[in-house]
Amino acid sequence: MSTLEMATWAAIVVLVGGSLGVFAWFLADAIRWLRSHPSRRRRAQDGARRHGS
Amino acid sequence: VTPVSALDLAIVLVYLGGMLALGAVVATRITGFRDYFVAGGQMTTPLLVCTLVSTYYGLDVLFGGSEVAYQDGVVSWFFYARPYYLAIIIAAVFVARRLKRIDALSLPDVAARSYGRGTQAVIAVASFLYSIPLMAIMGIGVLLDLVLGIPFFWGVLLGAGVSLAYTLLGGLVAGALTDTVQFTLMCVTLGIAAAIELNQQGGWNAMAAALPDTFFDPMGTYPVWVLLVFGLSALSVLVEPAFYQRIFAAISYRAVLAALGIGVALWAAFDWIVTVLGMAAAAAGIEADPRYALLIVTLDALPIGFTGLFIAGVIAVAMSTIDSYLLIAGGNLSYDLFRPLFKPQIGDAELLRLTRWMIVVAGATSIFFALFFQSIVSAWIFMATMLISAAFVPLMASLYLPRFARPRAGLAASLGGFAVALGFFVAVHAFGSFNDEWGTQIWVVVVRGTEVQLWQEYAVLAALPVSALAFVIGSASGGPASPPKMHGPATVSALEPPAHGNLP
Repeated sequence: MSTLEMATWAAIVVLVGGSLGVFAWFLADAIRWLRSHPSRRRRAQDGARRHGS
Repeated sequence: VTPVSALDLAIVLVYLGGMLALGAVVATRITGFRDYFVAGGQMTTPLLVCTLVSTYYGLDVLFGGSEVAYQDGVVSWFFYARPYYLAIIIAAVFVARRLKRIDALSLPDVAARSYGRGTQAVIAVASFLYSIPLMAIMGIGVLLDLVLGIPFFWGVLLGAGVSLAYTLLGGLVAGALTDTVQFTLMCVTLGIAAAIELNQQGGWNAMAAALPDTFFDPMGTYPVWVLLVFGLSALSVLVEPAFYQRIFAAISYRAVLAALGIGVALWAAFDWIVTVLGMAAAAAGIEADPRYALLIVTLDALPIGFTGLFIAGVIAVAMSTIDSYLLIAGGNLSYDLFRPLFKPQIGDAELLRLTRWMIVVAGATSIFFALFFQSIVSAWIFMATMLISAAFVPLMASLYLPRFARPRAGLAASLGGFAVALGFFVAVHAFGSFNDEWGTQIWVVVVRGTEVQLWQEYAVLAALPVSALAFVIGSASGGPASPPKMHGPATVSALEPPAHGNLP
């Protein structure tokens, strides 16, 4: 396998694996944020309800 | 291009609807201008990675990079793309650290702190010109026409309209959240497309055998001056409005550093795959407009279902750029031009309302130019050159040579750079002609019997030294050492503090 071919497969792995990894990190952060701020979440829901009515 | 299936079309429609829904949800959480424009300064690393990578890479990279690779091979990665990584690392290590200490919200805002309203206005105009997402909107129109058969006019309205709608609703938070989906879509679909294409061509060696040796020369066939300009254009990273906005939106300097480190690895991989797909199109003998070679070779290779994902991915590449730059262009008009020049005491709610109107103005301007000037191939070069020429010297001096950063020096440097770059472009277009071989405007002048080719790309080579010289003269000529107090109670720091916790 030539250097350029190896570079190409490495780039595919970085692009697919890296982007999915970052997206999973973002989701984990988002879930942690929602769990750790119940009061904020309640306030946001109340605000949205008031906004809707 | 083969017509897309109903499944592929459904995937694209679900994607567009999802982006709008996300914008509507985020709109309920916006409480003030700082929330809207820099996400309350609470963005964490993964969100920064997604928004930086997807925003900075638009159709100009996807189609521009593959165009160079289709015509010249690996030079596309080595000279068209690689200088940017060095500039990004410099920006991450040096510039971002200093910017994070400044209480500013935008690129012209940084200039205002050292030089006052005049320089801020010139840089705001250059930033506005740079930020009009003309190429992305034109690209999305061409793309929807090419792959879905939607007429260019309606494609432009649909692509720009959806991006405009969720940006108007949710500002940077909506932009960044949609960026997470867009970032993942564009990276995964491009990676899978490259793997399938390489496999179909019988591996790298079979593809390489079908290409001339010059395709594997890192310097390609470009003149050395053009390679120098490619390298210099990477300086735009150091004065990039979206980059500045995201630094101000980041929760900490460490988050910026980590995001840019990860981003460089992803950008390098993305560029290499774009280069390989451009070369694959050439190896497959595809006869097409070089800009769309990547699109054609990939759509021919992908199976049903993946095609829809890939189209959504390419639309995502354009939309992530459109939303971010519409927000910045709108902010340039309201926050950086109207507020300091006409109403320094503007309230937070009024500023937020005005910014949303200015985003509509920026969107309408972009759509107008995209519809009426469909053949502006050099628009991006012009926009980037104007920004570098007007902003690079004064901004770097304000960060690293604050003793010399006097208002007069900033104004002279920004105006001088802007005027020379504009004059150079006007002259090359007035006296030169379009060169089909290189695909650019060239003015041939004869100096002592020798022909000298002045490419429009060389404008930055003339403007930057003039801007630097104007700065030195302006600084040496004296004048006040700092700008007069221009920020009243409604300044950035007095705008409402963030109302929510750290954004993931």
